[in-house]
Amino acid sequence: MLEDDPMHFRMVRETCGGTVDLHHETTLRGAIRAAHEHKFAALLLDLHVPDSQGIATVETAARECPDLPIVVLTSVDDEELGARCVRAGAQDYLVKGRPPTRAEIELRSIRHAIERHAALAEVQAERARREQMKDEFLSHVSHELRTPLSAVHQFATILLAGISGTLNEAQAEYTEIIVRNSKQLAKMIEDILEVTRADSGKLRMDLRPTIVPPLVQDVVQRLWNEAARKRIEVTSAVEPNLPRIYADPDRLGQVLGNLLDNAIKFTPNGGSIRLRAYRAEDEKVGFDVEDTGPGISESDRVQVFERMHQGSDHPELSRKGLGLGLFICRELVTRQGGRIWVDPALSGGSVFRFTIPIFDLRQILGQRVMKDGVLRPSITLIQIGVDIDDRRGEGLIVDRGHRALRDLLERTVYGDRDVVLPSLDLAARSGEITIVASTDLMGANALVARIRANARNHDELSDLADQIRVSLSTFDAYEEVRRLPPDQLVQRVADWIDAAGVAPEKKEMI
Amino acid sequence: MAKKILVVEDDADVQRGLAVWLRGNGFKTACARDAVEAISVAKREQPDLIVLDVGLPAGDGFVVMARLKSIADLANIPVIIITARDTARTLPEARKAGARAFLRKPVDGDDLLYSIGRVLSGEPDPVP
Repeated sequence: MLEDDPMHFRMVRETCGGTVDLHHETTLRGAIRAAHEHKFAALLLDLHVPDSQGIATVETAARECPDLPIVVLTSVDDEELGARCVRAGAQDYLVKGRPPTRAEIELRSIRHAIERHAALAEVQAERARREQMKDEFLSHVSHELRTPLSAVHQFATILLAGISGTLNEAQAEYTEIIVRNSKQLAKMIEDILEVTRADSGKLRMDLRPTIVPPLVQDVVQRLWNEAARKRIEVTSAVEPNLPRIYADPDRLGQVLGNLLDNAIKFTPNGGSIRLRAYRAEDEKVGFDVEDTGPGISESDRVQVFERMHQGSDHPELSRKGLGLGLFICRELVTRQGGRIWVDPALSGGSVFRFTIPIFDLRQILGQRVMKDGVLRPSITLIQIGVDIDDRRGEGLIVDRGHRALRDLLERTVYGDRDVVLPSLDLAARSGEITIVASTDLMGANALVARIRANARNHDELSDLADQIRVSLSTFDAYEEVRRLPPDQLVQRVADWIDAAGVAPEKKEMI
Repeated sequence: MAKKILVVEDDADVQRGLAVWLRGNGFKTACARDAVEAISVAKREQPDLIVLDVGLPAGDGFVVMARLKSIADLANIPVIIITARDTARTLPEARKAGARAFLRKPVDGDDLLYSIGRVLSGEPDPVP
């Protein structure tokens, strides 16, 4: 409390009783010094002290002690002066020698609520503004960095390919170093962007039923050269008949790519790396990336997934990168409903393992047909069937070709319509698929898309039909209901919905 | 006969790098550096494929794609998108616009050749 009149100080001390611990200063300078030395909860301030007068006292105190709430004591009952003090940086004011009336306390409480609210809103708005600026800045910077990097990378590649004349051995080696480093730099830029997205909750996930083997093949193919350069043998084993997983294939490829990339980085020349995909517990598919690198100490095994983690020094790694790769992996795996960790490998290296949930039609069905915890009033069913005879179906021919089919499915399935079946990723090579849409099977609430395969000859036809069957047969639950009459089909859908935990009393609304 | 590829890229060095790489790998090339030039060069040169940057002056790559679609003899030229922009935002747009492949900058030379090979051989290879 800054107060030069001892009588006023005594009065305040008596009013406050034993509820607060008062420290007394008689000059502003003394009060500021004391505030710096001690940790006070608030500063009670008389405006007129020997070394400062009026509003200036508040301004100086607020400037010198920015973290300390200031309550001004006025001897004049002057709302205007109090308000000016608040504007000058005080949090509140009290009138000396007169306890506030009940009405005044209430008013004050309301005023405080309004101020707190405004202050909070401003802080939040400011935070959002900064977040947005940071995003834009990073996006801009990464864009601008990539363009010159592109030129460096391209011309180094051109030199290396001998397009502008053959390089001697040393020149080729040095150019390769340029290419490798420009790739590293590109990866770092990408990582920074990913982390920013993860932080701001903008990491996009496009979950869909996904077949595992091509993902694994693709990532091995992508990093084959990288591994070959270090004479590292990469093998992959995917358990036969793995169920589809529910994942974003791009994002999953990114996780596998990061892990394999790391494994190559840490495995010495002539080592080996094993990729494995297998059925794991708890309705999940497990992925392992095992290397013959130096391994990770027990204390580091949890830490490696933390942002900017730099492992203990490995002499063979002169450069460590940003330490964001595994953090990004963890974010991506977690957001797809999985888990990631690392175990020691028998070889002395490491096994990075992660899991991704199996595609479960019932679960997705439940999510699709529910809104705010109850069943949606109308649900569109998409049924996809294959006729291998060559008769043209009745109804409206929507379009031809596999892209058109995919478009239709994506529009309906991933769009905002009430749809229950996820997309089938049909591999229709000949582009001779006709989509026939009709609405007669289940009335106005149903859209039935039938796929007819029209091939030019019998071999092509059965080839096509086989492919489509392969895709469809992965949908066990779907296969089951495919041939059911409409009423039983609805019942089956209702059963699925029940299994997904939707309010049963709304069932008749399908 | 060598296939002709139109490279649309506003950065002079990157454009030249792409063109030199493609010519070195047996393609003919034509170049444009903005959205307007892209259309006029495409009309004149009738390329077999367009490698298209997204961030361009005078209308971005997707504006170019829309304009190509509206011109009868250019509507079916396959487009490969290359971009330095945020993949998460740009990839869905590229997919929607009907791009046949999508490559992130810096574009890896071999990846580019692979995509061009697939697109020119007519494989049904829309943006994944």
